[in-house]
Amino acid sequence: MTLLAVEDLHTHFISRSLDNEMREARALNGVSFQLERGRVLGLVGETGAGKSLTALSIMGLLKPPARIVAGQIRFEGKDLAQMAPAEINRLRGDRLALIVQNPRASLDPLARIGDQLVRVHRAHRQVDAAAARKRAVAMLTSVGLPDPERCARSWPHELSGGMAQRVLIAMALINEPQLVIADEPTTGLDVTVQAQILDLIQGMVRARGLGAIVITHDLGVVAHYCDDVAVMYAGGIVEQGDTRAVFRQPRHPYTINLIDSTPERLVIGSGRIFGGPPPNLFDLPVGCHYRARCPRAADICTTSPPWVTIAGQHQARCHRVDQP
Amino acid sequence: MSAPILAVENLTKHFAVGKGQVVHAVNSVSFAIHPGQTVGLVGESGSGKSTIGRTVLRLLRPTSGRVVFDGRDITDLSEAECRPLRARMQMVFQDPWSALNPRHSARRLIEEPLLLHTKLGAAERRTRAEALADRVHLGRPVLDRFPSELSGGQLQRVCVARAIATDPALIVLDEPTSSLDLSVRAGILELLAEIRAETGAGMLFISHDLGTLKLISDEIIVLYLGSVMERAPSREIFAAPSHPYTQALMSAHLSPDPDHHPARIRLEGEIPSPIDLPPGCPFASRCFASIEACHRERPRLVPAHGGRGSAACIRLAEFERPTPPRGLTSGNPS
Amino acid sequence: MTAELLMNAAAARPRPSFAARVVQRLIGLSRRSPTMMIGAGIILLFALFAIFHLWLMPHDPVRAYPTEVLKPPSARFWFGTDGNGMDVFSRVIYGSLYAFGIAVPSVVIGLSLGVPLGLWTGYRGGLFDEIMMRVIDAIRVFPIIILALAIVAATGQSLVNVIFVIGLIDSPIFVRVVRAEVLALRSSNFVEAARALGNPTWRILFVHLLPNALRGAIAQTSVRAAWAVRISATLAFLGVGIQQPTPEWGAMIRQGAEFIVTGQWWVALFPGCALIVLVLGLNMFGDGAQDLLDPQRKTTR
Repeated sequence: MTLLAVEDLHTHFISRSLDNEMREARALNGVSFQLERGRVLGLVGETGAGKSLTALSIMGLLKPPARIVAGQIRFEGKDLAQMAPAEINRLRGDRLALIVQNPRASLDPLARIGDQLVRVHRAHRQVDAAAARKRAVAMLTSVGLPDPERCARSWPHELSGGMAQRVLIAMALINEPQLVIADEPTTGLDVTVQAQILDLIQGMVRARGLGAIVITHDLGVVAHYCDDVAVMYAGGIVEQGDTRAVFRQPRHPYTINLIDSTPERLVIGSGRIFGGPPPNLFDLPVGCHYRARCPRAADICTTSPPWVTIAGQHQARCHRVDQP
Repeated sequence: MSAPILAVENLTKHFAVGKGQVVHAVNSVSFAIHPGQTVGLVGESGSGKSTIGRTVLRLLRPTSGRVVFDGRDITDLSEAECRPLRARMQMVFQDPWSALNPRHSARRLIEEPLLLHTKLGAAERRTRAEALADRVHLGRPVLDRFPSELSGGQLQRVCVARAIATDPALIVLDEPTSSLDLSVRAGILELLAEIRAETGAGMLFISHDLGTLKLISDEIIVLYLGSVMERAPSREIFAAPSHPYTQALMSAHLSPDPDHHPARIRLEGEIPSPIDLPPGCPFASRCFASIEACHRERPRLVPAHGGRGSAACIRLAEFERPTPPRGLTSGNPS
Repeated sequence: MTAELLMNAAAARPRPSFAARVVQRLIGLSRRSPTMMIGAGIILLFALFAIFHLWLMPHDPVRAYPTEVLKPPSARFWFGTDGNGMDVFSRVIYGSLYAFGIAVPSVVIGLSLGVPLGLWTGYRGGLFDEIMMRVIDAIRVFPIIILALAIVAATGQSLVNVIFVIGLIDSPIFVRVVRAEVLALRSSNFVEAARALGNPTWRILFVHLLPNALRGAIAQTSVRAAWAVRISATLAFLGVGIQQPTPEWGAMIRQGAEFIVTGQWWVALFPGCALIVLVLGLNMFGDGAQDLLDPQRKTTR
């Protein structure tokens, strides 16, 4: 059974401006994807594309004025979008886990590491303090922290960025969730530490049959650690599929642009324009949202682009997939 | 080769942090930048690369060593004496959002260096600012907007415009693209390449991303815990990195190519604290090739790459070098 | 799709008139911070009293009616008369002129002293900053009333002295607020960038730091004005600075306090209410404005 199936998810920010006008930012517009066990899905896109928001929507962590206005999030057969907050709270930390950015800012500065792990564990399992403690130390060992006993007694500010991130991973996995979402897990970490963290996440996924979503803007991370990739722009997925397939044959103009703008592929002096003004979520253009920046834009792009299957699971949402 | 625009000799910078402890941020670093040359400084956190960038511009005072800018020893100048020099040595910062005064319009921000260092009148400054905006491919209407209304790419272009306004001979760039989105980075890198070609300024490009450095640097200096591990022309170092740390760094780099999985050199452990620097090679505690002697004596820079570069390792000639990842070497069209 | 249709319809709406936009902005602000708007309304009301006092006072505030001493509220004397036979209502109205006349200059003095000092000490740091902060702490720890009494007693009983004293005692708050902002900004990137560009120190202080540090100070002004009104009334109540028959609320309350015991409640109550309401209004406006200007900072004052 599919672990997670997101269908036509729409998340909007609805608020009143200072001028007493209702303003609606369409931050997610019809996001749909599936995730199977034992696989890692990479979500890429520029700032404001909606990657983190997708994670928050799935986890039920949206704060007003953000709201899910349409769509389904089917996890283990139940729709998370319709769930009551109390119910989804029980799932969070237990069957669903989120690893956030900026690890040191995400740990409680007033509690020792061991205590924080125990807290998370005992919130979802009926175990006594001693057993919880043992499990906490075991988790710290499994995430590769040297001297786990000492780490359990440490305070968050005593840890380096890499160690703090491992602690967050330990916290996320302590209750053996089925789905793990990692939001920019390696941004801000040194490249040598980054490799270790990603190996860890991927190892856990393979060994325990979890499903993982890795949100990142680093295409290198996607290329080497994600089995599938979904490229987002202006709150929607523009291309998705098996990572190899998408990287070898990107079909959506935005994806092509993104891959060609990486330093490894960039040719200085080619005169190509990459990037452009970010889309205005309050006032998205009719039809294809990428229209304003697309080199292939034509009249037909004023209508909603269809999903075109390139090969197998690889699909792109574009009217002009085959044009150069 | 003409005289270097910047020559740094045994630069050392230590910071006192409470309780009599000292952070050894930079330890005896030497290099030179010639006009028109781009030197890339690469290292991870704690390597001291940002500190070097700031010390070279005299935003910080060196603890010891010498900084010679355009033939003049600027190591011990006072703040007031350094100020007129700033017309000729400029900096572009990592985070454009916080580097610009949010209350000034883009026009005013670009005119500021002209106001500070030239005797141009208001009308002339205006014209120059517009010319600079054109040069960095910033549309004229953008000039009247404020930083909160501009995107990251536009902000960084404003920063570049400010940096080149007084025609500096040296530009230090501290991770200028790291805070920007991928697609925007390309534009800024192109801009920097253009500026370099046009002005012949020397550039010190500080980054942790090897891919970016390969694209833009003529020479690369690899730093670890404040010391130079390896230094060589860009092409050489990417083709065949000599120092174990450089090799580890390159192997950890992830290129956006799913079909190539380089042999990874896994480094164990964390980076030691710069307060208690161990004796011997700073990298010895994590090095896969370290021997007992590495922990005792600090290796000096010895020639490598056939004399065109140097590396600080006592075992340079001895061990096997694993194949560097393809994404970074000769396979790349540029 | 329905959503798209709705959005497109919204884009086609005609732009409303200027008056309508102003009204909408006021409604929008009220929703965002009702506290601020209520406070603003109260301040505006009293400001109108102060500006239009000549038209609003039925009697001369210092005219004594010897036959009408201590009369309760009636059709002729809406708030009754006080111990000298003067109309309380007119005096309350006139008192708002004094309230603003004291609050505004003293806050201005506080700003003029406090802001430059805060800028300088925040940027300089080091020993200078340490010494300055200890001096400021000393001033703040000292009981304000005693300090004010002492200074006014030494320098003489006059309105101008009261204003200066209040302004002086108020300035430490501004020093602190501005210093806090400067400390936060001092190590921020744009100050470093300004230095790297070659800005001299004075320019960094006044062109770069001041406008950004002023925000916190501006948000404080209303609250400080409330404090100034209260303190001046307290001083007058204690017999310092302002004397009878000046129609200042504090002085009126002082006189009225004697008569509460004998049952003439109106003499003290009405000026007291006016004082409470204005101070409340200033505080509400200040709190609300602070929330709006700087949502990250909690209003602890």
